[in-house]
Amino acid sequence: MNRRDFIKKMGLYAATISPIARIGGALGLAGAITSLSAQDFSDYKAIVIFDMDGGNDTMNMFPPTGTSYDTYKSIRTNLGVELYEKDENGEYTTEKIDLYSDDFYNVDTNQHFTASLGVDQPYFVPLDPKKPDVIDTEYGKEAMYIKGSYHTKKADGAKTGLGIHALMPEIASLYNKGVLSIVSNTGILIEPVTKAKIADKSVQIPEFLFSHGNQRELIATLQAGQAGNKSGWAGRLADNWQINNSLGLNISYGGNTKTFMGLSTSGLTMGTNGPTSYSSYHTMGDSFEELLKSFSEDPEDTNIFDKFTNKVNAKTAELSSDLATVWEDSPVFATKKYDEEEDYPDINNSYGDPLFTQYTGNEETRENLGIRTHHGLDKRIFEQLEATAKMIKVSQTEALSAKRQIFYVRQGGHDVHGNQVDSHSRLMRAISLGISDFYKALEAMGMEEDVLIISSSEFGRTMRNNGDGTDHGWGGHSFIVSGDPTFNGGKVYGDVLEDLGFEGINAYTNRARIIPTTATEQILAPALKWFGVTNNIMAEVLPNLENFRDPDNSENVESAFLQGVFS
Amino acid sequence: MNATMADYLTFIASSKADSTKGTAPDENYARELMQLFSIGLYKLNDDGTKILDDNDLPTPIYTQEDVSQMARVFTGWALSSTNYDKPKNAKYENIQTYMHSYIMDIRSFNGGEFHDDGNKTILGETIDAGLSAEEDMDRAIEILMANSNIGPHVCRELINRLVTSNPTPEYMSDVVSIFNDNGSGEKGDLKATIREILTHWEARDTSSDTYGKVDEFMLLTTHYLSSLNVKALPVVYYTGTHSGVTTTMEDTYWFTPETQYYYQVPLEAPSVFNFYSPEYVPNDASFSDTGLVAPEFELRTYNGLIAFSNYIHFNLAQDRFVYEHVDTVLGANPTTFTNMTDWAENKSITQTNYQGLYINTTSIYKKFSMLVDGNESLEFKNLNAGTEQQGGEKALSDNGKEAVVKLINYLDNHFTGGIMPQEYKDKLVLHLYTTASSRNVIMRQATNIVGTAIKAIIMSPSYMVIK
Repeated sequence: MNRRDFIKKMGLYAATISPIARIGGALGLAGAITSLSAQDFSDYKAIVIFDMDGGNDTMNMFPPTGTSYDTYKSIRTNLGVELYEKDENGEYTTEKIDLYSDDFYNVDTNQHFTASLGVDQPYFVPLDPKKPDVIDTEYGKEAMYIKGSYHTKKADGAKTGLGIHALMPEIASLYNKGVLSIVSNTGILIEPVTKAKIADKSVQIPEFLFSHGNQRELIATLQAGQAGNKSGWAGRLADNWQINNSLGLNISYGGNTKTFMGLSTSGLTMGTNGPTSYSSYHTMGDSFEELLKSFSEDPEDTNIFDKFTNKVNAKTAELSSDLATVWEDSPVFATKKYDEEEDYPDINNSYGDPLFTQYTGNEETRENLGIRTHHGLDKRIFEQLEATAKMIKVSQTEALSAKRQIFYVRQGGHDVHGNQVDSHSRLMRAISLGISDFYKALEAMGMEEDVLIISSSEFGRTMRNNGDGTDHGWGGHSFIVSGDPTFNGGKVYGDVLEDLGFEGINAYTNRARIIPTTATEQILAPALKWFGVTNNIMAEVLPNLENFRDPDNSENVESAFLQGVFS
Repeated sequence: MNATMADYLTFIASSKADSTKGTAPDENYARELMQLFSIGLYKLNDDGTKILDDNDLPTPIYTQEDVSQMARVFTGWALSSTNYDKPKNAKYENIQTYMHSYIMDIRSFNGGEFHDDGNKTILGETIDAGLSAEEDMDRAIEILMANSNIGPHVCRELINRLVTSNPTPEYMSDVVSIFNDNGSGEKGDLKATIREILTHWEARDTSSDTYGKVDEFMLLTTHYLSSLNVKALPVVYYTGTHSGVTTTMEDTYWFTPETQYYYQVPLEAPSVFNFYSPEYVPNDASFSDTGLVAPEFELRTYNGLIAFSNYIHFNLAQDRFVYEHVDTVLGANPTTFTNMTDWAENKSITQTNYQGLYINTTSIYKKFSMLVDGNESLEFKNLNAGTEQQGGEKALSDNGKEAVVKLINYLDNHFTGGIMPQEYKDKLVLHLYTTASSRNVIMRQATNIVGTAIKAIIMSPSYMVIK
């Protein structure tokens, strides 16, 4: 390839490489200039990306409670969450759902929701999974799914206009405790749009909207509108920071993710049972890992596939030995699983079971958890969150001494075109219980101020109900969790829409997909600033961020940030 | 058309647009038919290079409008049913249970009642109004076949899977011209295309440093198993988790328990984009500087690579030879088996344990025995220095060492066709001396040597990289 072609090709990446990294990455000198790009932090911080794969119907997870409610319910019909409880005549009673009311749900001394055992259950509080279920017909699956929501409130007591679904009391208690905030109507955008501007094509909208593969790529890369090969936003951050320890910046327990694919880094994908290591036959000399590493020392190798195969083998072998030792000291949470002694026996999940206990739907737990289901909750997200908590702890050891980490976990199954009542109920229950378990684990380890959880999903879903489910949408709600005192939890940010109608100003296409009013970048930016990302690196990690600057304050890139999230 | 595909990509019961209900045709299959199965995403020249616009950026070959128009073609279809009047589909009629068939082709429902037969424009070509669902589908296929992108897109994928990740434009041109015209005026003759791909001089020339591809785990596994003459054991399959009802599957290779750990389970790709992206560029200067792709490398996560190695390790530890000659010698189980059914029953093969695949490495051990002792008796009398055969740690005799060197050559020929560089073989031989000497039981020494050797060869580039 001649120099002109080379530069042309680099031009495709122009927006995504810093001047330093462009030289470094392109010429393979990244290692040599770490002193310029590496960030030296003295404290520890971690971000956990909670990916809800398939397009979470957040319209129902955080349903409307304000002026848009009637339109919402009339469109969503049998899938529309009720606003108030109905009496025996089917009439709405006065509001009984009050987030701050004691007789509504129980909280422990740490302000976490706890399922009261046995006695009179408030109507939809999840029941004790160990006791025989006494759900009557009113608590059938369909009725349970639309039973109601916790109406979140502002500091002055007025409703915010969004609720938290009835099946998520743990999330509600985190909101109430001031460590969880909701961001309304977020999504993938290139620049701010309105329905009119989309119609007259005076703004750019992301390519291939409503297609999973493309939108999942966009939410991972945040490079909507750019042609050519895309890279993950967290990968670009890792490319810039060039973290020197053997783990690097990015670790995934949710499988390979494009989010971590940078130009010179690709993150680590790990299994939830702890780091695996090479099994091998007994040897008196070098280990099997050493043998694999020695292959990569062959000076005769010139073929790039041969060389890279060896390189990957060698790197894996090295990390395998490092990790095998430290994992032995990782904290034990769920005794059911490990049959060992718990490290934090006084801290339990909302049912009083050890943290991260899995309720997978065996004979004991079938039809419990406040929802009728034969399948229980999918255990994988619990395993991923538990592994994340353990890794956060072992990363503090001297051998690894991590200062900055980004974790990725993934809950699949959100593509509820059909059977939404059953699937979404179980997904929401798992989110609520899982996030709560994770937060409590952080508290147990004394690290709740150091970790921030941010939700992610490729799109929300259509207002239109297709009978027993919803289809691919656009805008949806997000949530952030952090115990850091500078984080302003217990709030609803963004625009709570008043008009959700088919013909309204927020509806796009004839299925009423809601047009986002806050871009993903706008939420990520303040979180990344908290994380220690400076503005010049921020511009490469979030290239479209600048399109969201306040026109009255356009000199200041921070005017694009969602305001007030951190003090 | 295939019913499973129609259902998986959700155009069963996709109907023409209904403005009162606010519905529109399902666009899932329409998009993937173009993007994944025929013309791809970007405009291509016949040599596979992208056609760039004035800003030197790639241009899309289809637009969202093309997708919407194509979606209208695939309307009004239903699964066939043994009960012809009741197709699956809650959207056409509000019926929940049917006997519907995934084996029969799909059919146009109720004479095309829900088919959109208005005229359509796709990729600049028109489909006339008034055609039936079947006729529309035929026209759509004609339009795709006539498109200039189908040749380069399909040929690129075929070359990537069969030969090399980065074909030269010359190689691409030669293959595409056969695809476009097989010599008898036909476009899309796959047999002729594949013949050209495999016999082209570039497919046989390994001299370029950027030539080749790395194989994906699933294919590495089948290659390994075929090399050891794998057979399928009868597997007891539980038809329902709690029902206790079982059936026995014969002549079926049960891969799921084996391959889930490195994330490649047959028929369980995580998305329609399959197991890896065709555009994947590894994060290494030798690839990223020049934009060379290596799609299969996307699978090589930390976890996946170790899981694959461990799969080989445990698979070798459980074959018939080990069972009969190692466990037997150590007194674990004195019985030998003459047929696979007895073997399977004895091992209680079920869908969840790991022994549904039967390999037998006895011939390799007999070869090794011949190299060590000059006979096939599997005693390995001359493997060690000194006369004691059991107890204490043993160093290999000179005879044993020579046998190991020859064994490596034999295994290399068997698994890679003899292409492993001498340097690698030398390192492996030295490693095997110390692996063997750590065991004080002759049969364990032999299995350590053979097992480690096979695994090391398989993990090396000689085996994993296809050239």
